[in-house]
Order: sequence, then C-alpha cells, then structure tokens
Amino acid sequence: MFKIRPRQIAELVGIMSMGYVFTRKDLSSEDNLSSSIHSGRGRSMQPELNVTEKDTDIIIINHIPMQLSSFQVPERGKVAIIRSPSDPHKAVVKRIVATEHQKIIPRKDKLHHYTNDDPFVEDDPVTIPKGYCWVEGDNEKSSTDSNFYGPVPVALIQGYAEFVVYPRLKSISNTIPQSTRERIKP
Amino acid sequence: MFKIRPRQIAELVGIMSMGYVFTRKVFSIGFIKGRSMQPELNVTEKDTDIIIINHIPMQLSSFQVPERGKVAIIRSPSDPHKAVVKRIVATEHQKIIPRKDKLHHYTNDDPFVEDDPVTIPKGYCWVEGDNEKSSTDSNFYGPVPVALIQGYAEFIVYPRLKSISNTIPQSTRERIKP
Repeated sequence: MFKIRPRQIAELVGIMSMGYVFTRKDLSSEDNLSSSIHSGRGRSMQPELNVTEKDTDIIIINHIPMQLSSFQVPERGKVAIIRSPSDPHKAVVKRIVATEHQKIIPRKDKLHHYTNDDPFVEDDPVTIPKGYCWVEGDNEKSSTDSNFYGPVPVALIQGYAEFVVYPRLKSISNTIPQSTRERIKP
Repeated sequence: MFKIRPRQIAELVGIMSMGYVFTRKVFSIGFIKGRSMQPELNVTEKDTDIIIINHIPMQLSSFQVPERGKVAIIRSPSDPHKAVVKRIVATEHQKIIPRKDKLHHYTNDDPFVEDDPVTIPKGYCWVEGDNEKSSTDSNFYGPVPVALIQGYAEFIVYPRLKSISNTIPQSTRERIKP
C-alpha cells in the first residue's frame, strides 16, 4: 500500500486547483462547467450547433476575455455560455444579438415574464440597459432566451463558444441572422 | 541570487491557485465602501468595514432561492466587474412595491407607477440597500438573477466584531406580498 504523505496531498490539491482555475478562466470543453449545459443539448442553437436532434456537439469555450477589465460590452454575434437567469446552476448557450443601449423588438408569440405579467405588444422595442445584453438561440422555433427572460446582465456571461470539435472541427460563426438584425436598432 | 527551479514555480502557481479557489468558493474578506447599507455596515461616513464573506452555499446544487434577509455580495447587473453589497428582501414569485422616487430602467424607459407591485420571476430576487436615501439597487435595475449572487456577508471583523443581521427592515416588509 502506498504511504501517502501530506506533501502528496498538497500537490494533488494544488494540481486540481490549477485545473479548476484553468477550466473556469481559460479554455474548457463543453462538460467542464459545474452543471452540464442543458440547452446546449437541445435544439435552440440549430443549425449552428447540434445539427440533427441526436447530436451533442462538443465545443471549446474561451473564458479569457471575461477576466479582462476591458470586457464591458460583449461582442455582438458571438455565441456565449451564460449562467441561466432562471436557474443559477444551469448554463445556456445563446448568441449575443444586441448590446446595451440598442433597441430590439422581441420575437412574436413570446410572453415576457420579467415585468408585471403583461406581455409586451409585439412591436414595442425593448431598450437594453447598461451592463445588459440580449441573447437568442438561432432556432426561432425552439429557444428559451431573452425573448422569455428579458435582457441578461453581462456579468452572467462565462465564456465565448469558439469552435466545435465534435462531430466535426468547425469554427462557430459570429454572424447575427438577417431576420434578427431587422429587429434591432440602431 | 536565488536559483529558481521549475518545481518552485509549479509550487507557487499551485499555492496561488488554491488561494484563488478558496477565496472564490469558501471564504473571503470584503472591504465595504459607501453608505447604501448604513447602519448595518459603514456606520459613519469615514468607515470602511471589513467583512467575512461565505461563498459555500452558492456551490451547492440545493441553492436555488437565496435566504431572505441575508446581506449578499452580488455582481452588479450594471457593471460586470463590480460587486455590490445589498440585502435580499424578496425572492421569486413574491411581489414587491418598488421604493418611491426611483426610476426603473429595466423596461421600455417608462418608470413604474410607484404603487404597481413587481412580480419577481423564477430564478431572480430583489435586493435593496438598508439606507433608503442612498442606494442603487433593484429599485433602479430591477430583479437580479440569483446566479449573480457570489456570497453571503456573514460578519464584520473591523472596526468591531459583530455578526450581520438577517432582518428585513419593517418598512420594507410592508411593501412585499406575500
């Protein structure tokens, strides 16, 4: 039997801590959040991610930009990993379509649960406050996103989804869909 | 001059990482600035109270709804690099009447009529500074996602050792239903 000395335990804890910090602050693969990415397993980002229903794409997440004090406004068009406003232990994968001070018309047929229970009239633009952004899944038909929970604080953004490694190596596009762009001013 | 070997550097990085994880996930020390939590914190204007912050409850999967009355450290919805100290006065599904004379910037630029209660959505909470006269809180930026809560302020160590109360002020409780 191995003799386990305190030094080995300290080294093991040190290595685990370094790994933990690295996967939270630098790069990580899809499974390394403390809770699994539930919406990433669904269809809300089709066709960018999970092209067919059976897919569970594996992606590389970049946490570095969020550590810099220069990170105030996220980059429009990037797909981000965000802690869910509805559930503090879940993370979701959505595209950042609008940022602070922009105005966006929410998607039709969605109730807006973040005010006094009255759904917005579909054509009323929402002004995104400072420190917030608006996120949407690419798949209009199947996504719980800002159209449901409203603008999301930038502080909830954990990382950018940089590229897909499985089932094929592909970089993730930074383009906001045209139909979405038409709903945003300026 | 010291000979610095790779092992020493690895040990140093290891120790720094352990410290980093400990202060994010277990306990840390906070320095409080401002008057928004008077008289609980920073009783006189010149004070900068030092507090102990407990990060442990947030790591547990059972942490879904924060504890009402606790003072929490929260990442600011307005600025992702700042943290604020506020009391959790209401939680999901409760209704609260925002404090008067505050504009509500989280909808279409129309301030709420002061008597309209706001229903707090699932996954959110309502935070306020104890000092009515001087606090930027949910009355300004609306309900805050629970995911932004970093820790509970458990007690003050400087200038005196005192535990931080978990009581919602009476005047605040009157604005909350149920």
